Amino acid sequence: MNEKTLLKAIGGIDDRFLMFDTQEQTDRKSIKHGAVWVVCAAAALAVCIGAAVVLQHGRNEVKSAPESSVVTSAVTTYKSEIAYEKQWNEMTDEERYTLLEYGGESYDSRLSAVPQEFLGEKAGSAQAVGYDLFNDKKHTLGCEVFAIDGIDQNCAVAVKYDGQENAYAFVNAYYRPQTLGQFIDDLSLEENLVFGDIYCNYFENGEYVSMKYTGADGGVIWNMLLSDRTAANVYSDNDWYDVKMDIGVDVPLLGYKNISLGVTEDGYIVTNILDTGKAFYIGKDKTEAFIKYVESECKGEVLPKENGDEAVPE
Amino acid sequence: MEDLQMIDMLFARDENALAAMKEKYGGYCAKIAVNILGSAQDAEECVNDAYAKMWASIPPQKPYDLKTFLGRTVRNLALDRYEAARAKKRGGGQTEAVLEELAQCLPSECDTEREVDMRHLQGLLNEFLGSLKKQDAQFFVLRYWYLYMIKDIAQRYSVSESRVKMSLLRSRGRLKEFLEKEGFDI
Repeated sequence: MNEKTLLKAIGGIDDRFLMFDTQEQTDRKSIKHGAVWVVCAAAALAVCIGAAVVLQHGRNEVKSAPESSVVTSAVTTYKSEIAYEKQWNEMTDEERYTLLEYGGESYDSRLSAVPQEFLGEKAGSAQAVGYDLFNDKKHTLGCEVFAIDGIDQNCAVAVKYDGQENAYAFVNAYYRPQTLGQFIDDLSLEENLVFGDIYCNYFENGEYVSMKYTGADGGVIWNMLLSDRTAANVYSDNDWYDVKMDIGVDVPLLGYKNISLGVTEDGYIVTNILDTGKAFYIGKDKTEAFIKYVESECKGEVLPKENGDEAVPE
Repeated sequence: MEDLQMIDMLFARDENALAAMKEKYGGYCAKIAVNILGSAQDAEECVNDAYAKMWASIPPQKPYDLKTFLGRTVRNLALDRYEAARAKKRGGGQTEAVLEELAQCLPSECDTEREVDMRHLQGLLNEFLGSLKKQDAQFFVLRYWYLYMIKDIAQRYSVSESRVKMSLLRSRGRLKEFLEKEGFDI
């Protein structure tokens, strides 16, 4: 057996392993603000597929891809960028040590510095972990773990690597709030959540259409979507949340920019803050009212098509 | 349009089924083909071949799941094309990188000249995937079935690339151990 045989054999795995939301990810186009949401309709794959460099493991050398792999127009958006992977010795500590096991939780680095004024109490010491993927080696580095002001430690911590002054945000993707109120409180979202433009993607006459709405009032968003603090987190990977509108949101303290707060017509708000899905049922009347508000009160524009927005060429 | 309706149309030899498949699954198929071949033109031809193959094979076949049946068809055709292109020294998408990664899963005793019981191997792969955490299994499938770039998987799940790489690294190591444990030394 060789690797080609294994690749072909993988092609024959059971359907049950393939039956997750690949279709929507690949078919629906990316919203401009770049939020990529695993389950929501706004998810996308339209981003650049730079084709170009493959890594030759074990030899520490790179091979240039052939010209044919650099595509200028295709079914998705392609760019002729080179995806260069840094070697271990080219990385900074924060790029190397991106994993942390602490207090029974697993955290991942956001590669984003936490301002000193937001550093809370020191929680303890730990070993951050990094992997040299070229040489298949695990490395560790001592670090100090701090609370972040206003952020529950189950959600995120700040990590100062030994010998460094800067602290970096590490988030726990497995944190699961019980209610919307808990989620808001644990992340102090009233202070930390920043709203951006609102996007809406739909399929019409065989083409994807992307709309952008500007001018939504943050207070209205809070009142209409985030005021029901008792709304339970009902998220499941197996459920499909058909997002009608997608609010671009930032949580700058944790290094999140242009991620998603989605609104479905059937009463859910869904978000990928902290990297995994959270869905709260706030009621169909509220989400419908919000969609109407955006459509009637905000300024909407159809976004120009990008290369690759077309379906498979005939 | 529902998949069952498309299958019924194929059974009725209604060519509109192909247009409906293109509309519903065109992007999905194209993504698989481009991941493997790396060329939009080759991918387009490959996907069109897949539609033709679907037309020829349904009926008599009646797929349980149209999407994955179509996806498998595209994947197989694209890998065949990749082989042909490679023979002509034309490259393709993620395939080279994926093959290099998969080589790490092979028990060292593997004899590249001998034939493999493909059904047995696929059964083991199913068992192996079933043993992984859900997200690890999805990363594995996206990388080694769909041949997605690591960057795309990371973006799709809003996680860091290093997280995806590490998940794949661990899964490859586990697969190697699993195959060895199962005596897969042919």
